[in-house]
Amino acid sequence: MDTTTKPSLGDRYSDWAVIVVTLVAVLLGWLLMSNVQSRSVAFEAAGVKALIPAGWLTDKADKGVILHTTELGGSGFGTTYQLEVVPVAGGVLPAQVAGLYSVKRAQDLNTVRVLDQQKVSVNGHDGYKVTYAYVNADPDVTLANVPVVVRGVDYIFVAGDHAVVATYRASEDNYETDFGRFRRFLESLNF
Amino acid sequence: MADQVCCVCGKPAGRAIGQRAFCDEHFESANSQRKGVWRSAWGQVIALVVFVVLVYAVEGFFKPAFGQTALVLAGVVLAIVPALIWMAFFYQQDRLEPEPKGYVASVFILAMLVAAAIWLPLEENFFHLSKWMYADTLTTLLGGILIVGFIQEFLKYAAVRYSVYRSAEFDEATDGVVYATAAGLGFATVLNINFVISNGGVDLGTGVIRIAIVALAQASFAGITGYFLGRAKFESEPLWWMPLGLTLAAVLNGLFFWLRTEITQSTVTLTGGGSNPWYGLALAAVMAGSTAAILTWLIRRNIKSALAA
Repeated sequence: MDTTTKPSLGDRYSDWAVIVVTLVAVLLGWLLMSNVQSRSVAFEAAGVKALIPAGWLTDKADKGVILHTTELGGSGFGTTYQLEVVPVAGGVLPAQVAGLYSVKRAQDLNTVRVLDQQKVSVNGHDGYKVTYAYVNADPDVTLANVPVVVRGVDYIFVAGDHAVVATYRASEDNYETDFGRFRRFLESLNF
Repeated sequence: MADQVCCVCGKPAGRAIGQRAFCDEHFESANSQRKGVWRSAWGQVIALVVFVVLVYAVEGFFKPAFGQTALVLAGVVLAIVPALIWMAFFYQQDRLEPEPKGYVASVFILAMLVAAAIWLPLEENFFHLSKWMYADTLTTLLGGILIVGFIQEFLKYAAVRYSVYRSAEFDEATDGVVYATAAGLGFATVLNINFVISNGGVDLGTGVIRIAIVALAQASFAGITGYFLGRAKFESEPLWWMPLGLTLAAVLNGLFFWLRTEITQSTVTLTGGGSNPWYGLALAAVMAGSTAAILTWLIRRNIKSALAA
């Protein structure tokens, strides 16, 4: 395109002013996003305390599961946090609980594959971490949804006569993005 | 004045608007009212509403059973129609002083590119709007203005400002509205095509309503930025002028985003549930019509006061 006149100094300052105003607005928007995503509410059950994300859908506790909370919004598999308290014998190690727990996982989930397992330490609690993937199909057969690959991780800690299992599950697309928030949830655990 | 040159073509200037000097030819064009532009704006609103009603009626009457590929293709075709309607009206009404088709098409395509290459990745991979923006009313409103509004309006502004703005063809204040509207429609076309493809096709009846809403809204917000751009080129405006224009467009974009969510959202009652997209179309048509009316009035008032001075 043919250009005729060079931008005047006023035009150039105006350009910069537009860019600065846009950047300031987007920065404020980003702060708003961070604020909304870090909102949390206190949770306490069976001697376990944690800060859970505000505005998520929390199911009724069931069979040792003291917390099952799922992110609202978006489509597909909703990112989920779960806390479960499992009675164990005294002196058992987190790795041994992980072995027992893997049987339960294989019964509950479709085509589950363990991707990694290792010892971890979170807030001074020694534990065991198992990362896995499985295929999630909606149990409602009337919905024609394509099954999705879900990645999950279980953090297993032993405290006296019970083990605390903190689970994070998210679709393959959201796993890395949402993990930072789960990390904050994990670090807020107190038992 | 004798040693000054026209701010459009660089020839010796004999006239002025504010502190900007013009040659006789460009002084005349800078004060042109370009009625065709406004007629095409109104025509687009009316034609788009008629188009939506027709598609909705045809879909309801014939109930075509499309496969998924056909639904996607039909959706993509529908997504392009608003831009075609505007182009048709614009060139019909503006044939006496036409803008170069190549320039208008370039701005349209440039806006499509920035929407696809910058906005969509930002929305989907960085801001993840659907995960947090609907947390509460204030968040929806502020997020709609600060993120959706400012980024979208800046990209449309940039598509005009860094392409045709300095060209000799941008020789009237109204050209700001023309090129910005083309940018808005290019942006809307990509948003609509993305919506159709990411949903694996759309229901034709409700899909065409959404497509029309997005096109009318994006064209209107861009038209506001275009008005400020046009005046910034032909009159000596203060430093805050252009940021004000962009902010105004961004605020309206955010308000519209929030209001549309509020009035079309799903409701569940004892007798059933659902949402009503027609309210959204009515809102978009009223907003587009009001914006065109206000911009027409502002430009006519500016021309009168420039000529009187």
